Amino acid sequence: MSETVTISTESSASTDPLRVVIAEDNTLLREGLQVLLERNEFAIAAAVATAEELITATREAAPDLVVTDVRMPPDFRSEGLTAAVRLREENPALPVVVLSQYVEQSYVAELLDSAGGAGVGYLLKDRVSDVADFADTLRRVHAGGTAVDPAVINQLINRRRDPLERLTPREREVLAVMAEGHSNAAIARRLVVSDAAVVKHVGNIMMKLDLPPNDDQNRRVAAVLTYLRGQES
Amino acid sequence: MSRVELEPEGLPKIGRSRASLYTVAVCARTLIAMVTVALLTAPIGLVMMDSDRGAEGAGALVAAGLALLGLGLPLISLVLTRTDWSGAAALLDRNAGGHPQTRLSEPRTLVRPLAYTVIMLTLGGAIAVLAALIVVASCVALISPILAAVGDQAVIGPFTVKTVPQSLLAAIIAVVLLAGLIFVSPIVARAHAVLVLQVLTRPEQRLQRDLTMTTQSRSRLVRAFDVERRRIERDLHDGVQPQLMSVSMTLGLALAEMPTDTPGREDVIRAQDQARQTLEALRRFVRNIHPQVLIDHGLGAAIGELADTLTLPIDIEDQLTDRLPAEVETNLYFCVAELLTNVVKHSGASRAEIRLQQPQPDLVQVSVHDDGSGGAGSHRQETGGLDGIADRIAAFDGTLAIDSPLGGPTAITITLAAFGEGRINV
Repeated sequence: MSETVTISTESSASTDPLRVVIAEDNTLLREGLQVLLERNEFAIAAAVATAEELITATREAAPDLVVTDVRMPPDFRSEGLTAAVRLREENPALPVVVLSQYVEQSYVAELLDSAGGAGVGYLLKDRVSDVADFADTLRRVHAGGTAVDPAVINQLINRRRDPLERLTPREREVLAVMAEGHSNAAIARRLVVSDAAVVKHVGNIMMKLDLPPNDDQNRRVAAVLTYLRGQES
Repeated sequence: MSRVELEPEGLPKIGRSRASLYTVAVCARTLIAMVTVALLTAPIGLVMMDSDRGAEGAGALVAAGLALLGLGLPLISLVLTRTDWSGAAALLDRNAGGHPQTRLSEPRTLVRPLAYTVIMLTLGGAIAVLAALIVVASCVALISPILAAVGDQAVIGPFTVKTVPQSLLAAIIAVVLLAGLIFVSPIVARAHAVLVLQVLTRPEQRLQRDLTMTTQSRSRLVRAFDVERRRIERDLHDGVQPQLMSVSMTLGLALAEMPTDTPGREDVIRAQDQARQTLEALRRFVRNIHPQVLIDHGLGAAIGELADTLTLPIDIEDQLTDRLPAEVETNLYFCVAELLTNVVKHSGASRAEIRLQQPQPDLVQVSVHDDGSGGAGSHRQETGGLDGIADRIAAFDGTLAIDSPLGGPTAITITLAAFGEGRINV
């Protein structure tokens, strides 16, 4: 196993792998994440187990990306999320991906409100097991995108139906995948439809939600999320 | 009957040393009380001894003695009942409540203490004197062998011990008597403690105390239940979930390394799916046990997340400005969860509304309205959930109001003290 790691890091040395700080208090998961990222051509700048260490390690290592758990010592509440929001306040350009055991809209809200929600991700921990997908998501967030777990979108859609009722089931599917930060082409591949169909669906969604048409995949996620969250009570 | 209540099967076992100390202390207090009473009645004693005093003088002395006794006895009984009460409650390891309310200005409150004092001065006094005599005599008997050896003699009551064999016999009897005293001391101590509580508490006071204890233990149970839920949630979160997630991640890593045509790849994919489904089931389960968001963001947020998981549209009006104590939040959360389950399962409602407010600074009120078919609580099968809610609310001394005519709509309102058990303390 270690051989693979060495080979992959070496092979990517020329393309400057993204340097990541990982914060996860569970040893098993932290090490798993480390292996996963190394195999997918990321470089681990630091792997820490507490929110405090996350802050110091990030300040010292100035990584390209931070991946953190929500619940960490000492109180096992939302220390990781609070630390991530704080790091974003210090450096709004720092991309942060938060991994959570549950969908909690209040956490999503805190995260998306930090520096306009560009370069942030909120994913359920399960997504990590889709290794290639997860690695892609990290890259998208690093590129300034917003990635939100489809489960979050489903909950948001569930919360207020009035204008969303006008969306067809297919459009809702497209919306959920879109919120993960995928491009039209990627959405088409996932849902096994043509690119043209996706373009049409996206156009319809934006129109039905009264949002200006927007092809920039990074910005449109933020726009859709702002809209969905704006519907909260 | 009340005696039976006071002596349930599970009375705590009283250690011999503790019982002996207790008995000695009670005897000492009783003897002191007897001496005090004797001193107070000294004027009367003087009259009896000195009979050739003039009738006038004798009358004055008797009057003085009675006056002293009349003032002194209540005071003695107050002191005696207070100390004996605390001692008895501690010995029986029982929360007997505060001291019995006694006031010199309210003679009625003194009846029981006085009765107790009279019992202690007569029956208790007799036992105390007897015990004291046995102890003193035994001590003399124990040193009598030494006295006999040096040719002296010891006088123990009617007996005079002169020879060494006699003194040895006396010493043995003394040891047996002292051992006997220590042996019976737990029985005496318990009998006394029960007598104290029995005589000094009025029956309604006893009922009140039992009720208070029951109320407290009930709310303790509910609290313990919530703490336990929290612990289970933590164990699952820290133990099972990461392990399962790690399995899923490792399978993902393996898949990433497998070319698409590798034999068995389908099985790995299936295994990963199964792991993911188990995780999803576990997540739902854990959320029902104790949601983390309740701890982090409070009642409104937690109820919001809960509502999101239901298909029914639910409006939430959260007027709470501050966080409530954790136990109040937990309690209300589970009540609302149960109410929403009922709405979804039984009401056939098309929408529901939840309102959280503080009508007064020290009260918190949660109401759940739905436009369903009503009749909540009227069908036997449906009351399970409402009973559970009623129990929870009662444990926190709150109220549950159900307005659910047949045909609907239903409005259920829960009102609790906003700061926990504030109103329970009696």
